[in-house]
Amino acid sequence: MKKALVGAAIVAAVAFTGAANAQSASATFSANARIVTPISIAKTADMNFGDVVPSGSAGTVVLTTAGSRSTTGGVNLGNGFGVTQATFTVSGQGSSTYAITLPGSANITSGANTMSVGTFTSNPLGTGTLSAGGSDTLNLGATLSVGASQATGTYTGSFSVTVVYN
Amino acid sequence: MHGTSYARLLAGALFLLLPGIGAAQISVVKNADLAFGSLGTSASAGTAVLNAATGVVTVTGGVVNLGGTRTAASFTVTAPNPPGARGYTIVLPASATLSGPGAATMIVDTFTSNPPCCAGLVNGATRTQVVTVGATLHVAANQAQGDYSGTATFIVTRP
Repeated sequence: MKKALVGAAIVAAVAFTGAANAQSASATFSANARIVTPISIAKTADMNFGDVVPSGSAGTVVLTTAGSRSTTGGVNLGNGFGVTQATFTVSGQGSSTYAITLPGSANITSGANTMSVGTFTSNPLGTGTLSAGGSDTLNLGATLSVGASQATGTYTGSFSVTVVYN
Repeated sequence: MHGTSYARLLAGALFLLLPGIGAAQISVVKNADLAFGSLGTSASAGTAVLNAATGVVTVTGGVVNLGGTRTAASFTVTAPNPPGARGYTIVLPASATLSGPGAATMIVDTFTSNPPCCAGLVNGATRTQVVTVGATLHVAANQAQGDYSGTATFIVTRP
């Protein structure tokens, strides 16, 4: 029994010696990140208002995001061959949402003559969602302002649309 | 009968000693890993900085902030008793390498903590304290797409 007590005293002394030393403790952790595909946009069709017939009074041609036309004021619709909304393919990380920025307005010209294209609209509008496979189709419509007795000719111009991940 | 008394005495001595040994040790337990969430790359390099205190990710350069699960790494430090000995020092890793698809890697450095690291002893109001850790992730131009992961070590010491 005396031997047993001596053994206990030795254990206690070792324990206290250890406690007096500097101590440290550590934990391993992981750091992780996911890198995803950058977003991109590619035009698949240009916007085309088709043939428009002016008159003595001004008016507009409204082109919807589905490619159908309507008019206001003194404008009449001519040949509809080739009429289409502008279309784009947006590519990026699957199931991500993105914000769409439309142009304010753009002039289209034929020589020295100009018309204005504005009131752009899109489908989807404002925010789009990429498919699980990472693509989406964006359609743009707009309103063409035609002047009274607008000069004949083929009018063209360019504009840009911007997409960014939300 | 004498033998029985000695045995009781011995048992009593050990019972008193063991809690004292345990309380003198500082310990750390991980609660959460460091997660930067989803980041988009571009043709220019940049960084994603995860704030240790808020867990919010901010980006610089060509990196695009895409959301996802963001967390600061989190640890519970249990300081020793008695109260006068609760101080401890945080030691953060210098850097860590995250491995991704193929041979692609990214570097994480500039680790930060809340409460701050390295400024001396941290005295928690209680015996346990939660320490959160953030860092800066360096993303190369056109960094390869995929999931990246790596490990680092969080250390606390007491004098």
